[in-house]
Formats: sequence, C-alpha cells, structure tokens
Amino acid sequence: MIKSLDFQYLKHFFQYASRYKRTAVIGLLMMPLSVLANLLFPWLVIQVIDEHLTPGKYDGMLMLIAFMLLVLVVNYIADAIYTYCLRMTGQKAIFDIRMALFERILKLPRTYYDKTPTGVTLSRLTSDLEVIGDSFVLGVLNLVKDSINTLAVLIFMFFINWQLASLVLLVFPPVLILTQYVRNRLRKMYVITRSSLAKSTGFLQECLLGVKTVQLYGAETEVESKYHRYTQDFLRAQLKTNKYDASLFSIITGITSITIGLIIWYGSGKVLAGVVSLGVLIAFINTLEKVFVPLRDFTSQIASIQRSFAAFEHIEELFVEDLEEQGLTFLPEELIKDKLENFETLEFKNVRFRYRGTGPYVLDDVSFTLNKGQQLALVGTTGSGKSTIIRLINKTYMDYEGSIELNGIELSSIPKDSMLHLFSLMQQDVFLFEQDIHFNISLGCEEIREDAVIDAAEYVYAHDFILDLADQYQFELKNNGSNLSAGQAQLISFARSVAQGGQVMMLDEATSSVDSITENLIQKAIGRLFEEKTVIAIAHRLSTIRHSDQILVLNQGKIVERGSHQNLLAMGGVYASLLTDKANIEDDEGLLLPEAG
Amino acid sequence: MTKSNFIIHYLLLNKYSYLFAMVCIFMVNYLQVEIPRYIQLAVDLLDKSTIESKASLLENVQWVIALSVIMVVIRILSRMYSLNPGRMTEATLKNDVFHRLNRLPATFHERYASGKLISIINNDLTGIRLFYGIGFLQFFNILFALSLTPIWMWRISPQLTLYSVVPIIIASIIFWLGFRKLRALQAQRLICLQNLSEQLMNYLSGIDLIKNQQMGEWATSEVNMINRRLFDCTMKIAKIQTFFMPILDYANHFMKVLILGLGGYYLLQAQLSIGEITAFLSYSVLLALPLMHLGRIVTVYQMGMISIDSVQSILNNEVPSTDMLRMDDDEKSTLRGSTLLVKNLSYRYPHSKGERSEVVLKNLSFSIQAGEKVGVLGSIGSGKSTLVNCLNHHLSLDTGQIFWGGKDITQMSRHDWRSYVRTITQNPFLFSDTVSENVKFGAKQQGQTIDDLDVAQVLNLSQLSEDVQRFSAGDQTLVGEKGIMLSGGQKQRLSIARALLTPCDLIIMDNVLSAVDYDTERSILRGVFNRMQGQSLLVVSHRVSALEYMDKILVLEKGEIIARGTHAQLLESSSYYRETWELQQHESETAR
Repeated sequence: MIKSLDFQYLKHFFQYASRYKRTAVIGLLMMPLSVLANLLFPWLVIQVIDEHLTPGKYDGMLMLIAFMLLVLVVNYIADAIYTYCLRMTGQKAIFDIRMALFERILKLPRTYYDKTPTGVTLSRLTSDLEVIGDSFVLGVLNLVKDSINTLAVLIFMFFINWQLASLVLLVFPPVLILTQYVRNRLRKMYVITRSSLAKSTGFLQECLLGVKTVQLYGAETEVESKYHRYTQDFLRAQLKTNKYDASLFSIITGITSITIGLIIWYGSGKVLAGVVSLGVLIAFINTLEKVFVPLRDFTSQIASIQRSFAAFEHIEELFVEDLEEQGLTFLPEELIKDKLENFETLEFKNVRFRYRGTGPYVLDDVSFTLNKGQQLALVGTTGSGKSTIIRLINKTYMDYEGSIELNGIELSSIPKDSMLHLFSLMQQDVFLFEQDIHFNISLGCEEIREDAVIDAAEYVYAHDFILDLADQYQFELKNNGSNLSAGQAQLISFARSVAQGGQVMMLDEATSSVDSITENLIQKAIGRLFEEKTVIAIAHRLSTIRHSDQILVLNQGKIVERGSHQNLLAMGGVYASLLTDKANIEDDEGLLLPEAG
Repeated sequence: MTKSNFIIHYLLLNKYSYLFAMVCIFMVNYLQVEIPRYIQLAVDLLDKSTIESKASLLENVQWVIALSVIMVVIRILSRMYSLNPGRMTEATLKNDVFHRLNRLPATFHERYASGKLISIINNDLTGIRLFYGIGFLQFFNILFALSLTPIWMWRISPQLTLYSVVPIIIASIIFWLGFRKLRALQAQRLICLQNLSEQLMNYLSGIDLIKNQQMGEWATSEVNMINRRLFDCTMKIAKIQTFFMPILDYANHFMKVLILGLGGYYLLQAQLSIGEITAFLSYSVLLALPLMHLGRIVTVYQMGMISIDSVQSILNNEVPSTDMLRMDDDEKSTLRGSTLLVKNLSYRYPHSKGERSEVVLKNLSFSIQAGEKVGVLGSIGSGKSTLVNCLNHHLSLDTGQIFWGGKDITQMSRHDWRSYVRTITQNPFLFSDTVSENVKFGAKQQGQTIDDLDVAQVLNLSQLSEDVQRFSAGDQTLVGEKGIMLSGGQKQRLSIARALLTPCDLIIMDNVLSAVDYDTERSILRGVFNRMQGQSLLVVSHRVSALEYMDKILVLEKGEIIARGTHAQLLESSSYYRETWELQQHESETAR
C-alpha cells in the first residue's frame, strides 16, 4: 500500500493548503449532505416499489416521486460545492508552491545548476505541479468521496437486508485481489514507460538542437537507429499496459451483471417466503453499480495518486535543496553596510578551491591584493583558473579555503546582497532577455534612465549599430539575442555592465569573438575604464592588460608569476615566453622588433 | 498527402486489428442489451411458485451469468485490439517524423524552433494516439449502444421510451453547451501553461545574471502574473466541470425517477411488468453512459484533427528531390579529391516579413585545389559564416554557383556532398554522451571501423589529450548536456577531433579557434596540417594569426572579396589586411 515515506512528501503540500482551511471546510461540510442524499435515493426506490407498485396502490406515490427529485437536487448541489471548494484549495496551494519554488530557485547556488539541467528544474515548476493538480488533487477528492459513499452504501445494504449484502460482500475479495494484482503490474509498467519516454525525449531534443551537426556529419541513420530502439521499448511497455488495463476494466464491468444474476438466484426463494421484498431486490440490483464502479476507479485513483508521489518527491527535492546562503552565518547588516558602501580593497590569502569535494584543486594557494583604482589582470591558458577567481569574488561559488577579504571583511561572512552592488560583471557567455534593448542594458532598474542607457551604449560604441536597428533601443530581442550578431550581443552585454555602474569592473574574456575593428573600439572603451575604475580582467589580448598595475600568471590553479608588465618581461619567465610565442607566430616576417627589453 | 489520405493511410496500417475489434465491440454491445432481457424474465418469475417457473428462472439466471462471462472476454479483446493500434500508430509516426526531420534542410529548421518540434512529437502524437485508439473504440461503442439500446427499450414500451428520453436530451444540450465552453477554456489554459514554461526557461537560462543583478523581485513579479493567469483559467475550468458536466449524470437519475413514476402508472394499469421496469432502469444507464462519452469522443476527434495538422506541417515538407539522390560508388570515387570551384556566388537570406533583405554575399569567385589551404579573413557581418554555410550546402542555394570536380553541388544530395566536405562549426554541438562517442559521432554511418587508438590519435592532434587524461574517466567521461562539463575551448577542440576522425576531402573550420589562446591555436593548426594528406582546408577567422600559413587568403568585407593573395602579398596590397594585422600585432609590438 502507500508507504509511510510517501506521506513525508505531502508535508509541504498540506502546509500550503492549510492556508485555505476555510474553503476546504465549506467543501467538507457538504459531504454528509451528499452521502445522505445518496442513500435516500435507493431507500425511496424501495418505498415506491414495495408500498405502491407491488400492492397496486397509487395514492401518495406522487409525493414520494417529488421527494426523490428533491433528493436529487440536493445531491447535485452538495456534490458540486464539495468538489469546487476542494479543487480551489488544491489549486491555491499549487499556486503558492509554484511561487515558493521559484523564489527558492533564485536563491539556489551555482553548484545546483551545474549538476541539474535546466529542463529538469523547469519540469519541477510546470509538469510536476500539473501532475499534482491533475492526479493528486482530483484523485484524493474523488477517492475520499467514493470511499465514503461506497462504505455508506454497504452499511445501508446491510441495514436493509444482511443476507443479500453478505452476498455482495462475497464478491469483494476476488475483485480486490485481482485489482491489486493488476495494479502492481501496471505500476511496474508505468516505471518502464516513464523512463523510456524520458530517454527518447531527451535524445530527440538533442538531435533536434543539433540537427545541423547531424546533417553535416551525415549521421541521420545513425541517430535514427538509436531512436527506433527507444520507441520500440516504449511501445512494448505500452502494449502490455493496455492488456492489463483492458482486463481490469472489462472484469469489473462484467462482475456487476454476474452479481445481479447471483442476487436474483439467491433471492428467488426468499421473495416467495416474504424474507426479501421485491423492492429491496430491485434496489440492490440498481445500487450495485454504485459499489463496483468505485471499486474499479479506486485502483486508477490510487494509481494516479501514486503517480503524483513521484512529482511530490521531485518537488520535495527542490524544497530541501540547500539554498545558497543557507546555514551560513553573516555579520549583521548594520555592521557591514557602511564599510561596504565603497570599494576599498580585495585581498586573497592562500586561497584554495575545488568545484567538487573530491576533485582536483582549480585554485591552489592564490594570494593577491587589489586596491581601489588598481587594475588586476589574470593571464594563463584555458583551464588555468582565471574564471574561477572571478566566480569566487562575486560569490557564485562559496566553499573556498583560505581567506578572501573585501574591505577587510571576510567574504564568507558577507551576505551576497550586501556586496554585489560593488561589482559589474561582463560574462563570457552573453545572456539577453526577450525584452527590448533598453531593458537589456538597464535590466529594469528604474534609476538607469534613457540617457544613462544611451551613454553606456555610446561608451562601448554600441550606439551606432543600435540606431541602425528597426526600433532602435526598443528593438525586441528574441531567443537570447539570436536576432543580433554575436558581436552585437556582446556589445549589448558590455553596455549593460557599464550601465550597472559597479565600482569594480570584472571582464571575463570580454573580447574573444569580436572582429578586430570592433575589438579595437572596445579596447578603447576598456582603456577608459582602466583609467576611471578598479578592474579585474581576463583577456587574451595583451593590449588590454599591459597597463595593469598587477598581472597574475596562472598555471593549473597556481600563480606562477606576478608583477607589472615590465617586471614580468624582465623576468623572462612564463609571461615573457607567452609573448615571444605570439611573436614567433606573428613576427614571422621579421618586421617588428622588440620595443624594449 | 492530404489529411484524409493521411488518416486512411495510418488506419490501414492496422486494418485487421481494427476489423476484429469492430466485431468484438458489436458483440459486447449486443450482449449488454441482451443481458437485462434475461434479468427481466427472471425478475418476473420471482413471485411465481410453480416448478416450471422455478426451473425457467434458474435457466434465465444461468444465461445472465454465462453471457456476462462471455461479455468480459470479448470486451477485453475489443479494448486490446482497438487501443493497441493507437499505440502502434504513435510509434510509427514518431519514427516517420524523426526520419523526415533529419532530412529536411536548414530552411525548414529555421522556421521551427526545436521546442516546437518536440512538443509536436510528444503532445500532438498523443492526440493522434487517442484518435486512433480510444477514438475508434468509443466511436463504435457509442454508435452501437445508441442504436441498439432504444430498439430494445422500444420493444418493451414505446411510450415510456419516448418520455424517458426527454430529460436525457435536455441534459445533453446543457452538457454540450458547457462542454464547448470547457474546450475553449482548456485551449486557453494550454497557452497560459506554455507562456509560463517559456518565461521560466528564459529566466533559468539567465539565472546567474538575475542573481548577480538582484533582479529576483522583478522576475518573481513577472512569474506571479503569469501564474495568476493560469490559476484563474484553471478555476474557470473547474467551475464548468463541477457545475455543468454532472448534469447528464443527474439526468440519468432523473430518468430513473420518471421510469418509476410513469412505469409504475403503466404497471398499475397492467401494461408493464415489474421485470420490465427493472430492465428499463438498466437501459437508462446504457443510454446515458454513451452520451457522456460522446463529449469525450468529440474532444478526441478534434484534438486528433489539430494534432494531425501539426504533424502534417512537418510531414508535408518534402525533402528536396535532389537530396533523395544517391551517387553510385563509381561516381563517388571519381569525385574524390576534386577541386572546389566557386563561381559568382551571391546569397541573400530569404526574409519573412517583407523586411529589406540585404545581399550577404556578392559575386564571390575562387577555387580550392586538392590539398590547398585557403584562409578567409573578415570582420563580423562580413559574410564569413554565410559563406561557410553555402559551401557545405547548409543554406539552400541557386544552381550554377558551386562546383565540385565540375559537378554542381546543388545537383547532388546533401548527404553525398557531406561525405566530401566536413564542417567544424563556430558553436560546436556535442551530445550528452562520452567524449569518445562524441568523437566517433557520424563515423559509424560511413561504415568505418574505429578503434580507441584512432580516437586517441585525433584527440592528440586537436590538443585535447592532456585535458582528457585529466578527466576522471578519460575518454569515457560524460560531457553533459550540450557538452556543459567542458569549457568553450575544450568543446571546440573536441569538435575538431570529431571532424578529423573520418577522412574527407575538404575541411572547413568556421572561426573555431576563438575560445582557445594563441598557443593552443598554433598547436592545433599544426596538428591539422599534419593529419591532412591531400586534403584541402578552408579556415575562416578574424584572427590573422590563424591564417598566415595558408596558401591563399581571401579578405572578405561586406560580402565581397576585397583582396586575395598570400600573407606577404596581402600585407603589401591590402590596407584592410594590413590594418587588421597591425591591430593584432600591436599587442606583441608594445609587449617588447
């Protein structure tokens, strides 16, 4: 049956639903009314037959008939209110859960997103909640109603005639055993269908996203044969499911007429003997549907409720997922607020970091100091840990070893919200909202007005191309800027980080795929930034960084050299060889001579 | 294929199953109305005390039970054989659609976002499955039930039949009104749900930015708005489902009251027996049930029609006839190692909404001899990527512009053409599989046998071996969705390895070295040069450093070749080239 563990998952749902207790109570109050009406109906049928039809008495029958109609109306109203109120409660809870989950999602750490594909998180907020709305809320609603009604009808039957009722009850055990058996089978099949469907959809999604690659590599049949296997697995499980479904449905439908036969058989002697009245017998025949159909539906209701447990489990995972700053203690807001108003210094002391608990260190014993107005450049090959430093500074990742101090306060004791205003980040991967350009630069921040947006765009030389667009600053971007070129998207993202006005600019490989002419423009803008702001930069272009106060050369997470451009060259180490290597490629013609040693 | 052809085509796929199911459905419905007749006979014998009547009562009861058992068996068969074809049609269509999607050219895929296509395959095929399964079953169930039941009722009492049908008809009308409204609302709800998904997806992909810029509140209020709209719509649906839809069910009860009242009246006048009233009560259920299901079958039918339209919007896109051609082996081998000739190539993107469409490529002419290494230098918007996508026939081209060994590439299938040309795209796409499987991607089809040594070799050439060795599971490491576990540079190098594995005649590298540093770039180019034996190479880049060693460099600006020659020649002749080169040299110049 339902495992105790499963109920754990419902905790959050009921917590949210309990906010709407009043609606739920109104609905539940309708229940007794509905049950009463449900029982009165067959009782009245018996009265009509035994009191009027059998003895052939017409007087007063009209009254009974009118009463039956009244009972029907009451039953209809009570049922409708019950269902509506409880559905309302469920849907309101789902509404709240969705908002609560979304707010949690905004606070989850980067490590969560690293291990979870976006599609999975999305399905938590959409399809899983849909399942809860469809399967759980409706399932429980009907299950409660049906089981109470069935139980009431059974008791009523015993009350009217215990022998006939026992006969009906006799049919129960085989039916229950059968449904239980089939249900188990179905559940197993369901697990198989779910996983094979998920696999095939995942694969399909990949192939479609990468259809250009599939076609360019002539791999059409290769991917198709894999897909066919998934489809076949799915089909096979589905056909089996069909077989069980069909059997269950048909047997339960058939059992009603078989039982009717049994009742008449058994009743045949009793009616004559006057033990059972004809009315009772007919009422029994007509009420059997009310017993057996719910019995059939129980299985599907319980199955659908159980299906929803998977969704609850998924949602629970999100509820228990540690939040970014959960369980961390920070210094009190008023203590650090003044100190963090302006950027003063940033100091790394013997910092070590790894992404996973057991993985290799991506940063190893990194120490440096950055003061206000200074520029720090990070140099190194791909994977040397440059980007990781920036991710530690803006608290994308937190579990560092050693010490990072911002204005003399340990970074791990500052809540993220209190320090982010100091930094503007231009990321390697550009993300654009499906809004207009103005929004994408100002990010909806009302303090950044029209002219500030234009200023920022001019600053990075994006203004001209924006004016060439159809709606200029109101140009709506689609699909992460797919209606702009890659370079243009980067310029927008650059203008954005300028407009956000952080005191420290962090540039992460800002200029990699922009052509040389545009790149030169950006270089000039960066030059301006270097004069006015504190900068931490990762770049391939040495012109970007040669005016830095300090250059750190990283190799596999370690700082191998540090110093100014001149010092490093004089040292003749890794940095110098990086330059000469470039020179080797570029000075092939021997046109350029070293400027100064 | 027209819609009716489509429907018939897939119906005929399972014709025997359907035929058998139809016979079964008829038998089930026949038994369903026949069983109450035996019940009626039995009930009427209940208060008779003669020996014969007892014997005949027993006989009738035995009939009831026997027929019920037979009905169970036939019903199982009817459901299996009418629902299974739905599943099988779904599976067949899945494969058919995927097959077509894989072969449709870029012009199609640009119009349809992959999310839309997946939703068609997942959701619309469900609609089609229901149409071909439950739709078929219910259609014949309702058809037989609604035609048989009134006949059996009429036989007992024509008047009572007419009277008792009245509440059912009135309720049906109310039910239908509610039902129509319900469908409109459900469509509306689906749109709300889609909007919600899209919005959430958008925010999830920009989660870092939203967090860093503290835009959480803004995002939450946007989500709240859409969530509210979804809730309102859901409750409107609930209202109709709880207040309108049960009317038909209650009409059935109402009908029972009517049968008792009116039937009782006839009974007292000795026009009806008590057994006949019992049978009538059973028939009232048999009449109301199909009417309730009628709503469902209309939904299934309409959903099916919509779904068929969506699926046809894919399947009715014919694969270009040239792409169906296959070269024979002779022709294939004569064209190996040919010269690529580009003659007056012009290209403009087809535009959707009458926007001005600019010519992206203007009258380009050049050739790539077998074994020649050609570079293309250009700034953003110069048409570099468009050129690449024309050369590999990703974009649809006019005839007579690009020739391979004298044969117009638009006159051969894309599939054949790509056995000669291999493109390494700017944004490499990786499958969420192992490093090794990604390298081998596309090689199986060429009938090539690959061993791990080959994989290791190309990984080495693309400068990825060291990285791979550092991975915990080596080349069996999973790269994650779209290669998320790898850095941009690693992805590019993996895609280079993939391209190098299968031999081909021309390798095109479209700005692939942008995310690697100069050092690695140089090693990779060296690796590629070493691997190439008689193969041609086209490198497209905005970095001069990547192009210096080419036999020939084309300078592309605003879709035109403004200069061509070797590195040395261009430094002399092209001011643009020189300027670009100097800008990039600048760094090392001042570095001294």
